[in-house]
Amino acid sequence: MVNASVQALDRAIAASNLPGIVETAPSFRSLLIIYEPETIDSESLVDAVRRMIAGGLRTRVAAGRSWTVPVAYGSPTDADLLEVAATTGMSRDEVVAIHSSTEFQVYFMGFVPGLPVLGGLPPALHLPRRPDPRPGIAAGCVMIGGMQGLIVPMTMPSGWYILGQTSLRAYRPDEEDPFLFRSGDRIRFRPVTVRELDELSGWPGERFLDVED
Amino acid sequence: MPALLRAIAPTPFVTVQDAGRRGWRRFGVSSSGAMDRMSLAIANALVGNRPTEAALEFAHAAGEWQVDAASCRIAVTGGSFGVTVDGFARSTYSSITLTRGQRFHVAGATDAVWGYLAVAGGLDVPQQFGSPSTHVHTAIGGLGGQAIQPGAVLKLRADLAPAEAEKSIDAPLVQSGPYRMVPGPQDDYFDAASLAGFLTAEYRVTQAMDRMAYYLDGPRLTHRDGYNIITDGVVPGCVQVPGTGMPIVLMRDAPTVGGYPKIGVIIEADLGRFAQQRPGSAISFQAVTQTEAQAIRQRFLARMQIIAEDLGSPRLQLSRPG
Repeated sequence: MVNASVQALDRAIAASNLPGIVETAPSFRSLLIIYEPETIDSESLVDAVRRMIAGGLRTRVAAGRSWTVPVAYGSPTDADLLEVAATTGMSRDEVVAIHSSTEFQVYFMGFVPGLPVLGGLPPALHLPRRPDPRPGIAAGCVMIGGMQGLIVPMTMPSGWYILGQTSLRAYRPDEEDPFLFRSGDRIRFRPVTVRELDELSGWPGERFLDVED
Repeated sequence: MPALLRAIAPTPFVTVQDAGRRGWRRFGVSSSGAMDRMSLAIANALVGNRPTEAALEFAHAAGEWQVDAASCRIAVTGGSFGVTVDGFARSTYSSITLTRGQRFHVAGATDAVWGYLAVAGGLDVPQQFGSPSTHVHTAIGGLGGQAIQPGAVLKLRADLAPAEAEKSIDAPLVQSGPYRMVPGPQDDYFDAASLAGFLTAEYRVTQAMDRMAYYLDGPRLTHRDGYNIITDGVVPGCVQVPGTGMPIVLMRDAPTVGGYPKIGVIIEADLGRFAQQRPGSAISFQAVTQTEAQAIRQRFLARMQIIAEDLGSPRLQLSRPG
């Protein structure tokens, strides 16, 4: 999986103490490296990164953090869930069963602060995004689109499909650590009722962490 | 009594901006920061601040403000904005010392989009993700993540203007000519004729321009095989081309990732003067190599440093700690 190599290169650069690196940011199949050319010129940087890759990247690392995220499927509305079922030729329950039995991995965080882009969506649930993004998708919505999943961290527009909602907040601007997830984290979704979700809503996100670093 | 700057009648797009935040892209946080770094640096230098200190950035005009401090020194840069104090005309690119209760007004310029209002001692605005810069779309930084609202008060760090004499500088000559860009990373998504045409064509800045992106109008670019790429990282200056074939230049508030092919990236030294182009302005591009871009960047930073040092500003730090 190419994203595992991206994550591995990201870790290798962080561990290398290469001078002049300002920051790095993974995406699906590439790593953005921002550097200061006053400290390291582009040729030297590219050489150094090539050497890291040639030396072999450690793509198999001890399992990182893993989460079980409660989801009230079909909430706040089941319109998208029914549309996904109709488009994929499955029942509503089959869609839920597939989504909630999948182990996702956070490929990267992006678009807006704290948004985990999740890889691992089974092909049965791959479907094109809507032609027009809808505005005002609320924080906590659990969505799928294309070949990915995501958890909405703050109100935003999205052309993806809402399967349900969670009480977890992926972005908590007032907390010391505002970002619940990190690239490489593994996520499973557990179906709960709307009432159970209400009861869980006051819980800190960390309570849903099964395996820490 | 706290030293304050009161927004009596601010224009809609006044935000707190410094040289931008770094280190948080991996969590989806945009870098933000001043659209025109040179003008920010000069405004700060004129009032004795570090060149990267946070100032107020405004679009087209800043509106009406009042000083609620014993005394306060300000400077306005970015273009030939109409600055008046208690109704009397004052100069841009000059420091101006005001006393308690005095009002000043900043009206529009015809030669710029973004203006900077720096205050001696700096604005006392909390940092979020290492910077006070405002990103309105995600409610980060500034005053509550928003543009400055009418009636808002900004705390100032200094209650007295500096004792030094007023400072003034000629508005620096801005290089004209094409905007230099390093082709890629997806220039191979365009057919050769399209790519060559892009570098000789004239485009215009449209009305669709803000801190996130400038939409251009001009000859349509043709993709070789579709316009969807696997979403990857983007930075300010990226020229991305969606299915319409019309280029979009990503600016300081752009998101951290994007899904359209990028034909090139405008170099840092040219992004500030590009940002100052008003809707309707004719623009063109020129390809430079990465090595050339690095040399131009060094000359640009050196020039910014010389201007700041000539004004007696503390030394510009190329690498900010943290």
